[in-house]
Amino acid sequence: MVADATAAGPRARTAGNPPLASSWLSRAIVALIRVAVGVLWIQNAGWKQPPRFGEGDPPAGLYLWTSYAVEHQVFGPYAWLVEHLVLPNFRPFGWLVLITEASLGAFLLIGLLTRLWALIGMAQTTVIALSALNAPHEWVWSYALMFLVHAALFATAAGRYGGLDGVLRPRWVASPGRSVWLLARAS
Amino acid sequence: MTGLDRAAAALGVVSVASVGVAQAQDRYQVFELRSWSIAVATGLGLCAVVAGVAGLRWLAAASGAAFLAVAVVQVPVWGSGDNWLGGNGSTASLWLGLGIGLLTVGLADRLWPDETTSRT
Repeated sequence: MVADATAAGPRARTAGNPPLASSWLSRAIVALIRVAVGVLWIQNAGWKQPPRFGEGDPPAGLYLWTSYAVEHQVFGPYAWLVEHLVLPNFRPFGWLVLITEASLGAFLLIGLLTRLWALIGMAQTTVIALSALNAPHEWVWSYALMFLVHAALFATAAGRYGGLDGVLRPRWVASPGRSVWLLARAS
Repeated sequence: MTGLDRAAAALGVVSVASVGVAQAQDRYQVFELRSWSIAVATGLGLCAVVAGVAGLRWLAAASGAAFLAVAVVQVPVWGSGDNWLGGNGSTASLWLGLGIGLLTVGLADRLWPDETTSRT
């Protein structure tokens, strides 16, 4: 097949190339999706306000949404964990969520260590879904799509297109040492 | 202009442009920028643009460190009753990204010398 494509000329060879290697438009779209997902997390860091994170009477914000894991149970063991461990010790959990989501927005926006942060985004989406999936007026597909878009960022190594990974990865790949090897893997 | 310099300039442009993006209201508001935070985004953003255009890596690193510092300050200030900086958690997230990005760009040559160029 390769020989056939070569004999058929440049157009046939280009047709056989993966779109990300041959198309400027495809690379720009991957970069746009990465930035948009980063903005998603950035915007959602704006309503997880310390120090109470919505804990109070009546509950609001992050505390209220986390409590849905118990009120509108998705997965029994997770609901038990939230009821007996997370809600009684909410402030450290709130800080953990704020730092994780603010960092997701930060790293995905600039395209640094994108594959690692895409995995963290998949994990965080799963945690959010376990709290909010059965809450009133929630659309199940929104969480599925959120998970899948992070999977797509991971699969395409989206930081290599218009992101810092694209600038720094050649140095990481060319340098010896365990730490740069890890950076190259995370990009 | 190298890739790192272009990255520094681009991060600066993002910061300056964020002042316009922050004018969106209600559900379309991505982050808050009021009072001092507008000066931070504009001033440090312009520094990053200059760093990129002039190839001044020390200025990129300094701008990045300043962005990181204001990001860290913004979170407790936002949580307190007196939000004198004028941003919110989203602003801190944006500045965290710009700070890490600019610091990485500014220190890249020291941390990871470009062996791909030196070999040729």
